[in-house]
Parts: sequence; structure tokens; C-alpha cells
Amino acid sequence: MTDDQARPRSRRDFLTGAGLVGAGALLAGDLRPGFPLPPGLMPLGLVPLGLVPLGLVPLGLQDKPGLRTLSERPLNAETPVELLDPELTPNEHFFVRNNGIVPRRALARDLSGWALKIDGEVDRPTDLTVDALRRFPVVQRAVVIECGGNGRAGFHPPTPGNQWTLGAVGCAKFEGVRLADVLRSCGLRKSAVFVAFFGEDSHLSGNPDKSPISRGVPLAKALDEHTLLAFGMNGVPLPPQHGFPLRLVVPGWPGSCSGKWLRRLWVRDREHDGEKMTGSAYRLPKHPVAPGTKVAASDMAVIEQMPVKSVITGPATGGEHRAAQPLAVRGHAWSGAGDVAAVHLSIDFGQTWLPCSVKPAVNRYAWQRFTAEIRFPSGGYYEVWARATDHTGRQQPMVVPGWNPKGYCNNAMHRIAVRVV
Amino acid sequence: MDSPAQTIHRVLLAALAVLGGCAKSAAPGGQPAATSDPIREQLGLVAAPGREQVIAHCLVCHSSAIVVSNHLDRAGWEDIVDQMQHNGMRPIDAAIREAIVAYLERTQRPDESGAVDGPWAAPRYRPNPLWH
Repeated sequence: MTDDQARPRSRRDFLTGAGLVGAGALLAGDLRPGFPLPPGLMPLGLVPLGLVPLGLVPLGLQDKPGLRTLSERPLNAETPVELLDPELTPNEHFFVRNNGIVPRRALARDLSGWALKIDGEVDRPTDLTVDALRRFPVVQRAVVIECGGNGRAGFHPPTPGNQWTLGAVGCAKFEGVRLADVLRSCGLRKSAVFVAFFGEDSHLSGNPDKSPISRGVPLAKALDEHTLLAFGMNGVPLPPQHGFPLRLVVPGWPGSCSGKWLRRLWVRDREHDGEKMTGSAYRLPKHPVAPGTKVAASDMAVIEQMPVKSVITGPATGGEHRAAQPLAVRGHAWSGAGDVAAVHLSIDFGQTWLPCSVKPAVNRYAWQRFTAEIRFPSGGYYEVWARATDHTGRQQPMVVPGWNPKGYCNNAMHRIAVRVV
Repeated sequence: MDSPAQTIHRVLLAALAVLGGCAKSAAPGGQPAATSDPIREQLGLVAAPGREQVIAHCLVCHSSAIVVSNHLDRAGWEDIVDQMQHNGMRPIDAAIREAIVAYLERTQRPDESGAVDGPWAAPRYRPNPLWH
């Protein structure tokens, strides 16, 4: 394993040398305490940790080339669709969605003093090291993790938050243990209804009493055999940006349920009310609303299962293609409901549909490869639309569906443009 | 003696000049463009009243990218400032709050949303305008 965090930071060094220690520290993101303030800001007591010029590669992405940065602090970056083509998304191309600051422990890959605390509605509150966790049956599963806000940029009127387009999704092979096995070993009480997580990431404000995100899942989902406590990702320990040393992997639900940098699981007798569980965070209106409607908090419900979706990973949009040749189209399809039953393509704006070949999932909640060869009847401007149907019969809509105040769950069909010559 | 806003502006210009020079020097052969507004160039924040307050009070915690990629109406920006105060933003008085909200309302409007840029832009057909 390469320890990228140990490498000298040439930009930070440069900035430090130039006397802009504050600016250098804000690029580092994790160096809040103990650096000198830019003198002009001191009278105000303000440290602009977010003063990051656009276009610089933020720290945390040095070993993740090709991602599109949406926010440097907190770090958020999505994967261009072409890089989603492999069966498993490599760690270096897996999207990053952080709410706070990556813990030093993760950056240093330091396990000293770490244990997962499990408490609350259990007979035997327990602290488990990674070695202790490995004594449970270890499983490997390819699982899609998709941010609840993937596709937010498609909503109109626009909704607040990171403006994810298509790439806040990936499918990795996670190694870990079943959350159900671990929870049951602690003696779940009849009063247990919800499992909440707390991570070691720190709040952007620097307030140690605030948690950047503390969500969770109802007990039934926690006990689903596919829900994991994962310590490995694509054959290596979890990388720093993806939750070292331990994260939840909650298939089919918004990525925010799959908490990173875990330190504590609190089994509760009611729905958790931690950060980003309440208000409008990760919630949808209970009933459809007209775009732009203000929705009362009491009319919102927590998102559970994510909708069926697909992306065309090849060819890239905007290319040219010779009419005499068939065009090979490929991509992945997935659904929060589990398996995808079919994927269809249209080159005439949805008037006719061509079935694709769809590979079975390597396991439930992995994405599935679809392929097709298209022959174009003439030259000209074409769009290729992809529409997945899951095993419950639900399909992707043509328009951006279900406007909601925070812009979640946009599963509109992906389209590419092709100029046929 | 500078006002706090002038101080912030002066320090920012100095900081961004160095950061900008650093970014440019990283691009071999690149000609540094003549710049009239380094803050806009580096942070994406257009020049308008209230910009210094946004930098001083919002960029304390997060980067400007999340500001300039969002497009909301006044009520939307009011909600965001409320949310940020819940999130631990330093207390601000009514005048600073008004300066921040007014800046965001003016420069980050819904009709200037960047949603049509990027991967969405390549397919050129739009949903049927008769639906509206």
C-alpha cells in the first residue's frame, strides 16, 4: 500500500514558504489548530479555511486523478461517466462525498486506540477492534453506493447542495462482516428499532461537540444480510477518503446511510435524530409537489430505497460514428430494489426501443453490465437514450422526476449525443 | 485605519495573488492572463456589494465552489444562511446577514443555473416547452 499522505506536499510547502500558512493549512483541510492566522484577519477572529482557489487539485484527490471537484472543503468530487466503465469502480476513481473533515487517523492509517463501540438497546455493550470484527464470518460483495443527491444538477428550479451530475455513484467490492452478525452478538433487545452511526470525521466549524453527519437505518435494514461493516475495498484496506478503518455499506439506500470512519453504533428505541436525519436532509415530500414548492418538515419522509437507474459508460457523448458500422453501446444498471430485469435503448426519442443484453449481477446490489449494438438508418444527429427496468417493473423516467426541495433521487434516463456520418 | 471589510479585501488580494501565481507557475508555458478581478478568477465570486462578507463569514468553514455552483432565490438563500447558523456559523448581525443574502440573491439566481453545463449539455434536445 502506498502511503500518499506521507509524501511531501509541494503546494503546501510552497505556500508555507510564501508566508501564507493559513492558506496552506486550509488546503490541507485537516490542520485547523495551531497555524498562524493571516494577520489582516486576526482582528476579526476569522480564519477563512474555505479560501481555496477554484481549479487547484484539492488535498485528498492527489491519488484520485480524473475526478471532477464539486467542493474542496468539505471534499466532494464525482466520477466522469467514462471512468465508471469497469465492472468494479477502482478506488482511485470512486466518488468522494464528505460532510466534514477526514479524520487524522484515516489519513495516517493509524489503528492505535481504535475500537467500534456498540451500545444502546443491547444486553452487552461491546467495543470491537478490527481484529475482533474479523472473527465474524468475513464476506466480500460488490455493492453500488450512490449519493442520494446524484443528479441534483438536473432539477429545475435548482435545489441547494453539491451539484452532482451523473457520477456520484460507483460499484466496489467491499470486504467486511455482516452487521446483523455483530449486532446479534451484542444481544439485541426487543426495544431496538434503529441503528445510528457516529464517525470520527470532524465538523467544518471546528466545534468538537458537533457531528458533521450521524444517520443510520431502521433495524430491519441493519439486519439485512447484505448490510455490511466493511474494512476492505477492492482488495485493500478502506482508503482514507472512503472511511478507514471501518464503514457501513448499506446497499440500495442513499450513500449517506453508509457512514464512514465509524467509531460508534448506537442501537436506539426510536428513529435516530442525529445530524442530517431531520429537517429536509435526505428526505422527500410524502406526496408529489409542483417544482419549487416549499414543503413543511412534517410533510417530508426519510428516503429509504433508491430508484432504478443506469449510465451509458461508452461511447462518450458528443462523438462521431460511421453509419456503415454498428455502434457498440455499454453501461451499467442498478436499482435499490435489487436486480435489474432489462435495459432498453432508443435512438428515436423513445418511439421505439431496442433491448440490450444484461449480465446477471455478481451478487444482489451489484450493478449489471448492459451492452447493445446499434445500427443507424442514416447519417445525422442522434441521441441514444438508456432506460433500465428493475425486477419490480419500475422504469427510469424520461423527464427529471419528483422535484423535491433538496434535489434527491433524480433517476432520469441518461442520454448521449452521436453524430452519424 | 481600514474598515474590517477593506482589511479582508486587502489581505485576500495579497493571498490570491500568491495562490494565483502558484497555480499559473504550475502550468508550463502558460501565459498569465491579465487580471482585473483576481477574487472572481480564483474563487468564482463575482464583484458585487457583500462579496467581502461572504468571504469573511462563509469561507471560514467551506470553499467557494459550493457557493458558486448553487442558484437559489432569496427565500432559498435565507434558508441556507439559517441552516449554516444551525451548523455553527459564527453569529452575524442583521446588517451582515442582509449583505450576504443580498449578494447571493443578486449573483446566484436560479435562472443563471449552471445545470445545462457539463454532461447534461451534450444532448441538445430539451423537454417539450409546451409543457410549461
